[in-house]
Amino acid sequence: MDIVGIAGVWFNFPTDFSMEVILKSTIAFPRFDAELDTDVCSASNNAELTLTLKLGFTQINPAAGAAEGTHNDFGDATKPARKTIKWTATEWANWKANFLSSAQAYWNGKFWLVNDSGSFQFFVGTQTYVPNIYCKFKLVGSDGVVGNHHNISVVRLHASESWFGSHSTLYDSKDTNSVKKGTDSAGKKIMQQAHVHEVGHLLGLGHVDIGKAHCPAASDTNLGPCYGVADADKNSVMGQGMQLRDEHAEPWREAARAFSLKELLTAPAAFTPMLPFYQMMGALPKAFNMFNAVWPAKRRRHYPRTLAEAQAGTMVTSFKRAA
Amino acid sequence: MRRAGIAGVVLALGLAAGLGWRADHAGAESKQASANNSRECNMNALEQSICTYELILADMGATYEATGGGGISGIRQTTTTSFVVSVSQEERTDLVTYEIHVAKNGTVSIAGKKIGVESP
Repeated sequence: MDIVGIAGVWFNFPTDFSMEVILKSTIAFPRFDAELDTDVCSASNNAELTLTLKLGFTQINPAAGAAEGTHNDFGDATKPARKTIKWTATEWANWKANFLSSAQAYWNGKFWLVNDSGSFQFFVGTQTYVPNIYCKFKLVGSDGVVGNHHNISVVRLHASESWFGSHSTLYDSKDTNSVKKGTDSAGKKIMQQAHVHEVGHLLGLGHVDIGKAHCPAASDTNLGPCYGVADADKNSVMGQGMQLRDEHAEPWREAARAFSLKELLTAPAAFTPMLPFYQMMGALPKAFNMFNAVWPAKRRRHYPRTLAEAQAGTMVTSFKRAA
Repeated sequence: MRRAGIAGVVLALGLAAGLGWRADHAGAESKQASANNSRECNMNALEQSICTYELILADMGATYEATGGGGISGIRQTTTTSFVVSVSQEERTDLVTYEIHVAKNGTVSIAGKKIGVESP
């Protein structure tokens, strides 16, 4: 990598200030772990922000070792009971693998955050770049309830059952299937895989219409209209459908803001990170305001920008520079 | 006048029953419900309560949009004129509360409807 210096971390400055290079930084959030990797930064590659969600899975089997039994919706004895069967080792392993791979694939690599804070600047030759952030997602599953961000119990439904009342920490073996959740105004089916919606909740996302008049934030936000009234909202993954929206990048934006702040707070007073350095030198582009940075989310690749491009607010969506 | 209602009745309808009802009756009943919003139920108490439940089910078929999930899991009469329909959905149970007006001639009509939810 041609990087001479990494803003926001210790670096080898040409004037011989000897400093340590730290290219990955981690922050543990209550809902997930976050890692910012600036080692991958180049004129064409952004920093990568990976959110890791650790899930602990526990089987729910019929009582007393029976092959078949029942379990009530939501685990609530007052709700309808559904027929269940005992997990086998193979089915359990297959279900977990499918759950993890499909939910991870759904959320991984879908967003780019545009760097409007000026954080994490780096150099290629004499050119200063402002990296954007590529949002990655890793879902890690294990058996047991220790050391996880969330613990989830799972029932295995009998073949005769088509539905079970799940919630964010109680799933059924068919929650990875695509099922009809509603219809739009034209009568078209709206399909959803429940587990990707639930993983959205685990990341901290709420239902699509929270905050609107028909879904006050202070009320129970599981109210039907919170899942969308307009067709576009119904189709959101945090409504009844499978569509991503820019606002679903909020967990990554939350982490980006934290890393940006961490960069600022951990900077030695003298020369690093580069942002305070630029501030001290009076060279900080006026377009940057770390404290009020928005980190707007995009769903197509936005390349790293030169300082001048970032200052001008130019978006670089195709890479034409000389390497 | 004989008033409609069976106190404490819980009408448990499974998904299959619900779907069956939709397939056999929903179209005609929905039209009637949306067109008239009322039914002639000047019968004995049992028949009148059945008529009331049919009115509610017809309105549900015509107006309830979240047609996935587990279907109607119960209808419970909470007062002489109030009925709560429970619909199983992922993450929640939708509660649709109907207020029924019973006219002196026995005609029942929907006087009000409120959407609620029960979260696990």
